[in-house]
Amino acid sequence: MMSLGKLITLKTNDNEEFKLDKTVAVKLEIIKNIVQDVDCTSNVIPLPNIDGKTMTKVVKYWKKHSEEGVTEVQLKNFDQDFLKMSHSELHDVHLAAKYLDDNQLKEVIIQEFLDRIKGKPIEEIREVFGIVNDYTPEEEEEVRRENAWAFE
Amino acid sequence: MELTNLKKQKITEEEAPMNKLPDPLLVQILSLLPTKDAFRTCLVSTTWRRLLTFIHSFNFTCREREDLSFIHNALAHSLSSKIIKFQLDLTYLRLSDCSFRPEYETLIGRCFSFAVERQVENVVLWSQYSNRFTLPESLCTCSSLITLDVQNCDLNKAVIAWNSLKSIKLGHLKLTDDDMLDDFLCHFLDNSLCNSELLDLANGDNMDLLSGVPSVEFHNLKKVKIVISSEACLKDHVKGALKRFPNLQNFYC
Repeated sequence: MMSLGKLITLKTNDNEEFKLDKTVAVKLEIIKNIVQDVDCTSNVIPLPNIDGKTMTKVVKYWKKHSEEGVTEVQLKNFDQDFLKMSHSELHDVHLAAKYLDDNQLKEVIIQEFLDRIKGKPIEEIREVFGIVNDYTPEEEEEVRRENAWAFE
Repeated sequence: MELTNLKKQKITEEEAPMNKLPDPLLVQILSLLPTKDAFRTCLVSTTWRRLLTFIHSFNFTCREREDLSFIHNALAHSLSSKIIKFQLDLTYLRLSDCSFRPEYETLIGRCFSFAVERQVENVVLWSQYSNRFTLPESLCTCSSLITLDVQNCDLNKAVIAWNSLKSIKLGHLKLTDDDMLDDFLCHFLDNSLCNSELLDLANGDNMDLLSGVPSVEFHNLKKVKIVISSEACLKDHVKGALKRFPNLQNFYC
């Protein structure tokens, strides 16, 4: 086991290295388990499923959320800013959070996806998610009729 | 047929560049929306329409004079083999007209036989004070149930078998007399098949009756939360009665 207060290095699949305070990193089950397994001389933990660009975001989130004396309002504002990314970037962060078993981050991302759908016009949802409308006008009319209750 | 289409779709999306979310993630997201909002997105594309038949959680809020056929419709089209959460909120209904009642009885029955058939894990059923319902029998023996949250719902004398239950909230439970308390204990608390760790009796009526509870075998109970608004002086009696639970760690009163 590495001693407290030391830095842990996380290495992404494109060889970017992130130095993290161990107290921050071991909050995550997966890192804790790896830290316990890895012998004490090696402080580098490989993350084969995550690239540097995504990991930068994840680390930014972790650091803010483990900051001492950070207020709820500050975290709320930070989250709002943090989530201003394209849906494919959000998806990457979600995958990373899933791999790192970070439930909090996972939930935050899912909630953001929900907010991008809830109450939004169909056209806007298509745009946000890069979806092409593949209904024929006749089909669209039929589906609208079938699900009329949802549009009341 | 639907399934094969979905699989094909999945493969093409995996091959496509990262500008599309994978189907399972979309299903997860759509499952978290209120069901009506989710179904509104059926016009996005034919894929989304297909995905909607796979949502694993339902969340319905009934408003007054609303056509209930939309709930029946959504359930009829569901292809999901497993239901994670089923929420039915009837608290907005002001049913002064008794003729409405059978319609809602049917609805509750339909919803929860659907959910129980698909091994539902979490159930929320909220009703309103003037429209109390009896807990559907299908739910009483639902062994997949992990959390149950009901409001203004009466427990009948049905056998209860909740093998997996971890948390139970019985809001506005009404205990009117000693007889009813006996029923409550015999068929619920004192049932070895109920392994709940959390018992939450918020805003119950006459909870002081619980002070007469002798020794309830509620093996795994770790938390008890009882909120009694008016009869504050009776809290201690209740507390005394519940102190005997072996694993109790937290008690809020």
